[in-house]
Amino acid sequence: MKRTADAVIVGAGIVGVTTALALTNAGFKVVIVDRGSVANGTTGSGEGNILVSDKEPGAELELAMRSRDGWFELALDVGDLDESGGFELEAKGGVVVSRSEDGLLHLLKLAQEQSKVGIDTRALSPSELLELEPNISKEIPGGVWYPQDAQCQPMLAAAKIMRVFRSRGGEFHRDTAVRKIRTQAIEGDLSVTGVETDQGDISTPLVVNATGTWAGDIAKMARSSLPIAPRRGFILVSVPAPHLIFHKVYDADYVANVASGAAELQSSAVVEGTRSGTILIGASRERVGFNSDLNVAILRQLAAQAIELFPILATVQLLRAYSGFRPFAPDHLPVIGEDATVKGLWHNVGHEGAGIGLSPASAQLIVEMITGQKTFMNPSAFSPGRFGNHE
Amino acid sequence: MIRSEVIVVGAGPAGMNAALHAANSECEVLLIDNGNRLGGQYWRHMPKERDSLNYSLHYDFAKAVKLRDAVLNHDKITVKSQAQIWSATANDKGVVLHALAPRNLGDLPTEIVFETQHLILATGAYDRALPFPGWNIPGVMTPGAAQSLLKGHGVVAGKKMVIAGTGPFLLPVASSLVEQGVEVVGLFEAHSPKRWVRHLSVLLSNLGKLFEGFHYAWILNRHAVRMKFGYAVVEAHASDAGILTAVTVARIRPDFTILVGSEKRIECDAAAIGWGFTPDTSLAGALGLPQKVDVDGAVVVSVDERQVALANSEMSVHAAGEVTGVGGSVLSLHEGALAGLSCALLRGKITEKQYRDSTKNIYAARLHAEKFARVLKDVYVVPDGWRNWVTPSTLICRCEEVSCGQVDAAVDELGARNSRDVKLFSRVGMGMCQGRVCGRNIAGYLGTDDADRIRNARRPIIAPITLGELAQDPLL
Repeated sequence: MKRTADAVIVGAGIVGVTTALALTNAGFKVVIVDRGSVANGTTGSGEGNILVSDKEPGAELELAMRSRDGWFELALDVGDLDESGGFELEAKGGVVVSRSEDGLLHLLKLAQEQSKVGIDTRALSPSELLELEPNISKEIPGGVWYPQDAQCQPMLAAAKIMRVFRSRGGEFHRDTAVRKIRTQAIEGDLSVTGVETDQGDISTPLVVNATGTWAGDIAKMARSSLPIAPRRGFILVSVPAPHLIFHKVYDADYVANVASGAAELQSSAVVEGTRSGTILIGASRERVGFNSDLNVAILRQLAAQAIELFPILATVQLLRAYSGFRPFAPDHLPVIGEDATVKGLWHNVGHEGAGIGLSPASAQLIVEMITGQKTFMNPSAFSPGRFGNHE
Repeated sequence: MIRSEVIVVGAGPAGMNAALHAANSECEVLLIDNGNRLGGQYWRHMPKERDSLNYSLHYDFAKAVKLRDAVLNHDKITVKSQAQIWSATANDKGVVLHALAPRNLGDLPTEIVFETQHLILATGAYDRALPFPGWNIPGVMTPGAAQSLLKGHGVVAGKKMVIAGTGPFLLPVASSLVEQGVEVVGLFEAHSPKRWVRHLSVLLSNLGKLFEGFHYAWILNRHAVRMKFGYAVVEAHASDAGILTAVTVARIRPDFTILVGSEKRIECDAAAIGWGFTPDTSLAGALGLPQKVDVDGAVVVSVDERQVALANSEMSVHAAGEVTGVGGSVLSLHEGALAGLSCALLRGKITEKQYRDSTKNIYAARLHAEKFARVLKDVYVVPDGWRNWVTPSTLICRCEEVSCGQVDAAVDELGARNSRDVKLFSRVGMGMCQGRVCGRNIAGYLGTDDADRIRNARRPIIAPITLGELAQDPLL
């Protein structure tokens, strides 16, 4: 193990690897450490959403728009010489629908506001909807088409980005758990001097916390704090059933669920076909700690909601189901920036269910801040200091 | 919802005997099985009307009939056949099983929820297949598949067959096939019979097994079929139409590496190749039962001497039979009996003294059968040398059509180190079988540790269910 580094990234999920690559490209000597392997946390349980449709105008949507382009740039940079980057990147487009006339009005209003800030949106009549998705329920009064919505296979993406990071001189230590963030008072400021791991210590003036749902634990090791909590979600995976569902299709209720902070179960239909032919069905949200036990009642609800959108799904077999833990911050916004109390400790966490989509721009933003360049957007909404001291 | 004092899952030798022993001690027992008839894979058989054929297909069918009839005629046992459990959970108070089953005979299956405080798991095992070039050609199957075609449907898998692999199971399969008119053009056991030499005392104290072996040898000899030792099928060949035309057999060393130059081609239209058994731990994994890796490399449920896998003052989960380690039907019967009696004891239906008195002989018999099972695992071990039979283009996961080369790329280029990494990077094990067939081989191919093997065998959805069936609330 290298004993010194310009920067140590903790966490080899999608945020960790994109940040590591961006820092490497900026000339830093970077080491990634992870207690497991690449994409072992929330990244490995995700659907690979790269969405602009599910956010209201504001800082997060600005980040999402930049990030969407960032993904296609990344595919060219790290990819296997095909436009999917070798990680199934695809601008498949999103179809958002509402089951009620009232809901549709809200949805159309949101789309109008989104289009004012530059999102490509198009209202869909029931017949246009059927053209895009021939198997959708005929009961649905309409929806909105978001051609910019995209998807990738997040585990492959993380692994391929990691491969390029290493080929450019980056170092990765798997099965290496951080025990402590070393700090020292320098000119009155508490500053990072290194990390202690169960595999040895590394001296560094810069640590990037990219541990997602587990970010609070790392902050604590530097005697700081972050209020990140797990928000569990289940995904159902069908047997391969190609040519049933062509885009990412979801119920407009999803936007409201994402924005809610409630601890109890919320779910709304998110249905999509994948390149491998399987159909993925989400999305539930609940705050139950790190409990991964299968909950049949939730699976039932997700299946019923998906069938409401696509009645044909009633005949499709469920093959597997799994849960993941989204890193949830009280105001649903990511945490990107330097720690409020510890100099040299940077956080790039709390992306909740949008971490795959938001990671390239989050990496760009944090690297611009670290290197003191002009940032592409105002990062203050994502400031770690916004929560005050939680100790 | 259906509640029962004791629920037994699996109606093979272990499950039937567990049900019978619990019921004989006055427990109300519900026996759930996914087959049409009692017997499990081992005593898979024709309907009762055709018992004469069943007797000729089974060495010990009289025993099966006796047990089956005792279970069917017992007024404390309710049998629920054709019930496929798809999800299960255990908590401090008991176990909940979600199954798809016909409510009444002849109905379409709908979801039924079963609850109990005392579960006995006897989910058995299935054949193990190893990958080699051509193993996915139609016509190449496991001995168990050939056997169930014959026993379940009266169909022979081919006219000219090669039977190969390792283990005593090859003998009954070859015998029943030749008796039904199949030309067995090759019968190959991978190991040398010399491996029995250091276990002669155990063999001599299991004369019944020895006689069973002679019985099959006599049948095979009558049809002029002779077993060759130290050979394995290492490649299968297809016609342009994709039909099996021949296999290549080769001499292999005890570590299963091929002796180069020993290969020869044998024409055949079907091949039954099996490498022992893999316990079906899907339900055990969903329930979160303690598991371990057995000496043969299989993930099994770990139980105490009373066959208890999990228990507190309110509930228990017992496991018996192959799911606790492959050991054959005799061992399974003993384990089933002990599990049934232990449930009766926990229910207060018998006293500790009665339990001790009635189990004394069974403990001794189980110990005896365990010794024999351990010897079988030693004699018919499957070492990692099979990894040399594959080429980069050989599929290791048939459902998702992932080749060994793609697994190598996930390891070499993307840094995969364990089964989960490889699955996420290459889609290996993500298909219809959910790793039941390939999971163990992938762990073997990668050479991963026990923790990885146990984690990889966990499948929260035990069997596929349609989204429509799932969406129906069975409690409404």
